[in-house]
Amino acid sequence: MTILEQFQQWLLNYWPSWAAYLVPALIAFIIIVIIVLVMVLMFIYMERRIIGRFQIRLGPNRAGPFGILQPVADAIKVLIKEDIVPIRADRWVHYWAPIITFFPALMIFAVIPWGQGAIFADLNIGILYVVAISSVGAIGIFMAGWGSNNKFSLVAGMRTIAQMVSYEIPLVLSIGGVLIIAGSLSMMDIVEAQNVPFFLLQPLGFVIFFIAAASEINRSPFDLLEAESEIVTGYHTEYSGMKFALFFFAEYTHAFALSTIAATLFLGGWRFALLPGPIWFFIKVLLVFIVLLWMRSTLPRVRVDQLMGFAWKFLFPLALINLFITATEAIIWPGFPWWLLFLNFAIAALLIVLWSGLFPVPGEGVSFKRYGRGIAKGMALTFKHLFRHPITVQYPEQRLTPARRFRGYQLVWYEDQCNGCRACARACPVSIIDIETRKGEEKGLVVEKLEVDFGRCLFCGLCVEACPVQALFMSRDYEKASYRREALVMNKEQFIAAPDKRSAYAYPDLEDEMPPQTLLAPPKEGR
Amino acid sequence: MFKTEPIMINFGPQHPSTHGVFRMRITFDGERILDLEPVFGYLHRGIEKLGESKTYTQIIPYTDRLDYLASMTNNHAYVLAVEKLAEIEVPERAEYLRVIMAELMRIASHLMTVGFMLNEMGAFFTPLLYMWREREKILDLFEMVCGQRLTYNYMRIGGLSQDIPEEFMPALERFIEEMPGFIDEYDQLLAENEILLARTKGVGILPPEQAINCSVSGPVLRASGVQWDLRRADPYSIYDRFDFEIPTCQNGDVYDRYRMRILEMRQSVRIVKQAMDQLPLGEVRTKVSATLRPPKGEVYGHIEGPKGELGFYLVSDGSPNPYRFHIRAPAIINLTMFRDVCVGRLLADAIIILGSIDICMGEVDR
Amino acid sequence: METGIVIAFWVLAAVIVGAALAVVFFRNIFHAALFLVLCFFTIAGIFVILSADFLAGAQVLIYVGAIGVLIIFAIMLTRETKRGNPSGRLQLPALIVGLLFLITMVVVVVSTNWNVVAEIPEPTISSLAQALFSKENGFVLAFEIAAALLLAAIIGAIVLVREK
Repeated sequence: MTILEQFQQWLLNYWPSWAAYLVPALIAFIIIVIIVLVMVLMFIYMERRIIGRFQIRLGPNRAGPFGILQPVADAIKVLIKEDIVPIRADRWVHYWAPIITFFPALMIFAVIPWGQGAIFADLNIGILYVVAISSVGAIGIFMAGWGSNNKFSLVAGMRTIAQMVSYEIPLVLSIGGVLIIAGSLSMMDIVEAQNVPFFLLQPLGFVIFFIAAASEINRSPFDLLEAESEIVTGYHTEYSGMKFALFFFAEYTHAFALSTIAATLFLGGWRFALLPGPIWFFIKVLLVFIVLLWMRSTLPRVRVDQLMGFAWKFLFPLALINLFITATEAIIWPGFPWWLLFLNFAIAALLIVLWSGLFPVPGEGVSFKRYGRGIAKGMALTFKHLFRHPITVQYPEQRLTPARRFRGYQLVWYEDQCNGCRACARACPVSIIDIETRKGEEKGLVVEKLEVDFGRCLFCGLCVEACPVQALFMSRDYEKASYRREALVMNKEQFIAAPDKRSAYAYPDLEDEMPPQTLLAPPKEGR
Repeated sequence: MFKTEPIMINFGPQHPSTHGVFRMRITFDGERILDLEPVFGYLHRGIEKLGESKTYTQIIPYTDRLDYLASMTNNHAYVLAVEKLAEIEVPERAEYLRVIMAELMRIASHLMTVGFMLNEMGAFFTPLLYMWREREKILDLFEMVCGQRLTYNYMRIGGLSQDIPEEFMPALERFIEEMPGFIDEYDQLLAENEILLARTKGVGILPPEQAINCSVSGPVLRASGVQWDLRRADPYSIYDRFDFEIPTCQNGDVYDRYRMRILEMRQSVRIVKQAMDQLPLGEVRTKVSATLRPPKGEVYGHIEGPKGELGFYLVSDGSPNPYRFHIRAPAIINLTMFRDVCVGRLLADAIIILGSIDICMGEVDR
Repeated sequence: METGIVIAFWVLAAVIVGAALAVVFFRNIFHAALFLVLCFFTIAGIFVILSADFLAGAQVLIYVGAIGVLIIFAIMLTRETKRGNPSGRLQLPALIVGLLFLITMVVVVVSTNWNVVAEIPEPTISSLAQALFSKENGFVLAFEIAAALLLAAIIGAIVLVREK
């Protein structure tokens, strides 16, 4: 009896039957939708921050404290964008595609057990329902590709169908192993049967499930559908505004859904010691998601034909053999004692080694060495980088000091030393220095107009080098954006007004006065 | 039974991964490429024509902007050509410093190339950002020396514009000490990665005869097995005093071109270390007049840049401005083999082959 | 029967018939295929009303997930969909034949004595499995023959489109 059913039975004493069944269901539905949406927002935030940490940088941290409101900012941005539909696109198909992609991902949550008895609908066909519903999502993606009237999107749509259909088979077969051990399709029964978590009893099944699930939800390294470098975000190229938000949400909701299914089927759901169920459940879901992020940040994308080859030649036979072996074990040792896990690990290792020998990298022949070791080394390195201090500089609160010889934005000019020789104007490659002189009272020329057009300046420093009387300096300024183009044309008053920003370019004697440069790798002490 | 129709897709000037404004018109049959037509010229700025109205010193900032990712080598090639034409002697210290700068620039350029090649393969910035870290250190060193991070304008006809500051050598020593460790880190992340191997091995194979026929140069040529490096074949500057190897690879596919750049980075570190040890004291600039009038004649000065053989062809008629200023840009000449290598492969391969040829649109279009 | 079931049945039935008519009458083939998928999906709803949960799941998985995708793919790859679904000259004879067929089916279905179980066994899956695979009165041989047939079909498809 799930909690929902108990509540409904209790309400039957007070209300007519239709209300007693409907109202708690509606309340539970709203609660689940809120949980899903909040978790999806949290996942979006986590993805950007944690991938940033893998890449030794901070993620977004401006919107709200620690950037928590970043997904909210994204949502608002996407909501107020104009909804553009291409002229010759099929309007209805274009409109319904995001909806058909999003709702199957949301419907998966009806059968996820969040805790002891806390499930929306304890269907007898729990996991079959999940698999059936996730296959509907493929139609939505194809509609998006078709309805965009864009060749890139169509190519992406075709790739989608091929990928999702191919990877459903190893997914379902690896679930089959779990079902044999658990003896039921219902999600609650599967969690109840996990005295030993199933990833220990079915290591190969877990690996296959994880890879197939990562491919089903189009995450790297299998995200060719949105490969920016190839088909310019694929099926959602022509979407903007709320429809794009729905696709984005659908991807993360699907990722969340598959993490929860992995946690339920293989990691033991809400079961563990001490803490209440839902907390362990969320911890396991977060663990699965972090591994997905880890894979995303480390591995390059596979090509579409290699993707197909991997599914059909590697995962599918392994999943079949795994199912066969599990069925054999079910007959020989019906209770599935815990020590079977050693046997299963050994079989899994042997199968992976053998099969990767048969699945050679093109051009290198059969090799037994390639069973994921290179990928493991790469992922170990990324993991090590996760704990390093990020090298992000929070500009404008933290500013780095530019070099002493920095060739910065404007010039610094000493009027009393200048003798009007125009060497700087002759030296300038772009001829932007405009000088007009007149005869002064004593002998010599006085500069009347000195205008430099910094919109066209190359900052090459040839003018400073050419000055024979050391009257011209570059400055160390670099922040001079302006709203008007005319403000970039500076005249001599502005040059005189900034003598303390001089840079030591072409003046080596000035270097001792300047503050030292901030270096990313400063030399060690004692050098 | 079924007749399929090839479709033509424009990988337009605006595309997230074509290294700048580069356009490809690809005819597909399903996913296989039947024909590929590169269209460029979107970044043409008329530098060669501009050079005819500037003095020889004023052209140097323009050469920075050719291959803007490796400005030092552009400067180096140009001043080498002018010095050859006008027969100007360069002091020893300037030669050593030029070699140090050029090799550091080679490391930075290769870091960027490999990083972006992996970015296009979908590794979502992680290898790129790790390599960018080292590139930032190199750019900090350059900022210390000449004040700019991208377009240096450091070399002059007859030497360098100014000497290195005091803190340059300690910082350089620390960088050179740590760099081999970082290259090992990149190898740990990438060299045996199965997905990388599957994506790049056997893809875009360029046989050595075709490479020579297409005048390909640089790491692309050496990855096909031809051991030709201008630093050994036609030594310029003082490269004959350093002890370094010219690595080559056998197959000439994308994996080998990636491997070449990593190996070349190691050799560059070696050269910089030797140059640092042998650095003499002295001047860094022979005084040359601002309006230099070289004798009449023509000269072709070339160096081994990170993308290939970068050459400058100068014709002088005795005036302060060159009569003809032509740039042999390696990127555009390496691009000529792009179509033959890509035909018959899949779309995703075309993108990474382009990444492995390593073009920079500033050079291609000039 | 309870009112809820009656309402659900009539709503679903209206959607099914409407979708089926849309499949036949729409010009745009892609829209027709999408309505066919909708039809399949709501048939799964009818199964749910009858408490046949496994059949509903199988219906969605097989019809929507596999056959619907197949139909859409086939349409996209082979047809000139801009021209759409051309109507032939046999509309009136087709209508008459269709009506005759419908009347025959309805008469047959209504006048048969169906063996209906009084009590629905829960869970349905084990009873289905028992009926299929039990030793005494199971259909294991038929099951295996159907599996072999599917395998032959798959191999045949691969052989047909293999590049020489």
